Amino acid sequence: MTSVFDSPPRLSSNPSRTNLSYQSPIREKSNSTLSLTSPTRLNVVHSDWDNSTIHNNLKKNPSFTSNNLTKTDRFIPSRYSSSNNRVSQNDSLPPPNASPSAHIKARSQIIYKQSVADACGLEVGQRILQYQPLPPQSKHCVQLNQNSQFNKNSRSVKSTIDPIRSRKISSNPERVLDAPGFIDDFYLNLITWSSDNYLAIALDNSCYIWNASSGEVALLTECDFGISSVRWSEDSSYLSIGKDDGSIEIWDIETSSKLRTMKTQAGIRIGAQSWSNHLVSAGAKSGEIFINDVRIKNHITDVLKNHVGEICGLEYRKDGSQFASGSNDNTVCIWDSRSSIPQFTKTTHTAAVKALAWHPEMNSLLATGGGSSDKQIHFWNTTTGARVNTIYTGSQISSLHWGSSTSFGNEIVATGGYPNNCISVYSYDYKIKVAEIENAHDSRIISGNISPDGSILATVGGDENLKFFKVFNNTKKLEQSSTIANGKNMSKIMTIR
Amino acid sequence: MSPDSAPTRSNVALRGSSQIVSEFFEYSINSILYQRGIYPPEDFQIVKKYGLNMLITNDEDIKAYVRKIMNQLHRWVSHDKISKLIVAIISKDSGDVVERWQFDLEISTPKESEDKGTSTIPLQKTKEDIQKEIQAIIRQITASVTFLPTLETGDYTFNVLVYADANAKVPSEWIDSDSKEIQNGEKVKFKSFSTNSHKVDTLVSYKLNNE
Repeated sequence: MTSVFDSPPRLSSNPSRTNLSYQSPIREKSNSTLSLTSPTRLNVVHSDWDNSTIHNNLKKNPSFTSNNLTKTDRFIPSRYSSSNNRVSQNDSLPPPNASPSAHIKARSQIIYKQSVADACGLEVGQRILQYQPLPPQSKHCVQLNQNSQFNKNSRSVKSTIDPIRSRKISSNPERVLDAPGFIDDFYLNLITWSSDNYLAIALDNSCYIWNASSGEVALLTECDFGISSVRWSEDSSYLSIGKDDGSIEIWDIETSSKLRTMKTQAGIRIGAQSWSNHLVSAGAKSGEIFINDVRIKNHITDVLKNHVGEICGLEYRKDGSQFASGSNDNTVCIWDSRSSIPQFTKTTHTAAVKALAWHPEMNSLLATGGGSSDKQIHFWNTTTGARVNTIYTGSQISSLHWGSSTSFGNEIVATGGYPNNCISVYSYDYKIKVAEIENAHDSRIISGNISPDGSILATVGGDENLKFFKVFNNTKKLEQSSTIANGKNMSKIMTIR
Repeated sequence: MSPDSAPTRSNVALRGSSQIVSEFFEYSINSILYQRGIYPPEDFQIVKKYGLNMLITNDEDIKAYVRKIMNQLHRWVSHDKISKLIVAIISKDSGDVVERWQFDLEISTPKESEDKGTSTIPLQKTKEDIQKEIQAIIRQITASVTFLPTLETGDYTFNVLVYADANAKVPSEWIDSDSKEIQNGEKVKFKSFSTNSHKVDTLVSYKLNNE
């Protein structure tokens, strides 16, 4: 005990100063009642401490002593108890000559410990020990998973990883075509791929048709104005060309002849078009959407004025009963085809919405992709207007197309811009990126279009290249051909004017 | 005729008793690992023990792991330093304890001083008696699969805890832990067995499935 008490006073700095305080009554007030009431305590202090150092300190600042006079009583017992804790943990009893309060404190501490232990259901003096090393993983487990015979056990994790490995798409394009004069403008829709496998692309003010089956290229027309959008009709017999002056030309592809020119009052460029039977809806830079009936002279049947920014995406649902429009005002509108007020206006995107894709089978599932400051794909239930899901892509989305794979089912492919101009395939069910082609183009991808069989994605970028990537494997040949057949029949019936 | 020699041979001394207890722990842990599907059935092989077909792991890693625990346990048991052994079954996903097997170990002081000649037979248990009791517990552990919630093989792992005396020597692999109790769990108590110097109670608590 003495050794513990010996050390602190020899320090000349702060600790010794505080210690100093309880020396004061001995030096200056040795006759006072304080020292007489508890002589044993003071004796201990007296014998342990080096008086000379304390005396020197006292002389240095006499005010110190008077200030700390009141602390005298409190300090000594606390030193007893703390020293006891340090010296022996098991025997927490203070020395016999300690003050009664110290004894009481020590006793009550033991009782307290016991009551806490009792409350916790523990026995005093017991430790709960855990064997720390982790149990080994079963090797069999892993092997079985690879054999996929017993992979019930960790299906939830494994099944999403394995298909990703198998789900590989070639990062090399199947084909690259030059597209000189292609306008690097995000808001325009300058390529379109017909169900008859013709790809139309507008380069500056000329429109070319590339026969994807034979590889032949033909110039369809050179317009007097710049072309701002091209779009095939559903049956792929007609091509509509939207121009900078706000007019729309309808071309018959079989005869390569212009059938009619429809002028809109807007007089500004038509950035997006979509066909539904004999209706062409055209979105203008003013934010208006013109519904044109190609069969009648006064072709504008409706003007939808809901958007305040340039329309850059327009897409009819397959059955034509709804259509979606995306605009530079960052909103998406979902319209009932019979109505001129939108069913839903979605303001969730924070950038221009160009990419719109209706799910081919699930009628009311719409995917929309935002521009460079948004980078999100939102999925909507267009019947209820609810947002079903969201995928963050990390890059501007210029097009979205649905597809499917055997390993993941529904998938959606997005073309992007900065930072790596990539084509990304996401699983709709798992909400994860399952494949990607990085740096598909040297510059941002402006537009993407899926081939009629649903396997090849044509992308055109600011680098004036038209590239073809095989992104989906299982093609919907049968289904597609049947719709083409239907379309053919329809085209015979359907005539323009 | 020879009351002091014949029973003592079949009697179990303290050392033998702790041997039995730690052996029981080893077989129970193996049974639990097998029955609860912590490891796939392919990792186990059948051995004869307690007059039963017991399943013991044949995977070298698991064997070594259990062996290490058992060595330490045996040391503790023979020095009477532990009072509880816990096998906690833990979900790999969430880290939640889904099942907790508890073996309470009690030292029963044999009252040898009181009665030497007459009542030694009911007091002193033979190996066969003990084995029968252990057999009953193992059967109960096996049968418990029928009422315990189904655990998918491979989704769970296990931890071994002991309640040790504060002054027990603890190797560095063992660390202090919480009790890993299951809140509001169902509890099922199994039969117990006792040797002359030990008594082992078995208890399983588990989370109800539909919560």
